[in-house]
Amino acid sequence: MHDNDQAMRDFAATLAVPEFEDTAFTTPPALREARVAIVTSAALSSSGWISQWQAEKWDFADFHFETLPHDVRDLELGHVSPNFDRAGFAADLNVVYPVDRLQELADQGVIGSVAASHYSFAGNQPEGLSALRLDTGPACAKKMLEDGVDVVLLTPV
Amino acid sequence: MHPPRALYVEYPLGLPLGKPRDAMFQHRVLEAAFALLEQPTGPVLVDFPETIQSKGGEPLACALPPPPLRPELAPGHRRSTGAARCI
Repeated sequence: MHDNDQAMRDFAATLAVPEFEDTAFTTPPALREARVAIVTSAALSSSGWISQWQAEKWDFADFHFETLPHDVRDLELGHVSPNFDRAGFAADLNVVYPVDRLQELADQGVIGSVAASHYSFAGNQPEGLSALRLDTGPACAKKMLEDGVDVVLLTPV
Repeated sequence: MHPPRALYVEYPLGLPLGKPRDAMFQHRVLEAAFALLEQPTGPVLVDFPETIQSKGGEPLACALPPPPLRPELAPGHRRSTGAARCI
């Protein structure tokens, strides 16, 4: 294991994790009928926008999420610290955001359809995840429900 | 946190689908993840059987430029804009 990689794992293991009394467990329709969306914590955004955002209005308390139309592939990864090797993302967007793989599954009839949009969050979140639990999370879920999404694939980065 | 369905993958950080430019591998990960939907009760946590280990001594690669300098901040924080986004 890469030393930097292990260091990040060790650090992450020290972070407080919210505890939930109940697990939100639902049974979706059959996969061949399900509409599937991706939610990632890769801080993805349209190309060029992230550099402008960092230069002009980056704020540690900015917990917003990005809406990524399904047909958009020209994306940037917003994480800029060298705490993990991002060469994989540079070589293949799908290793972080498997949007082409989902389209292939839809074309093959394995899944019912791919959502019109997917969603991206950044890793900076307040202690206790209050913004995610009370604001951005419900807002993102509402958008997916309006799009008829049945299954959400979470890809942490 | 007990998410309803989770597939644990032992890969280097930043590669949740495992191998770039390997569609077959990525499809195996997705197939295993979607198979969790068939579980009648949860939470469910399953280990994916294929692991990937980083090679020691590999240099880190950064495809992005460092964040811009912010001269209004103290010297030790002038590049702090992006650092917090790693967590």
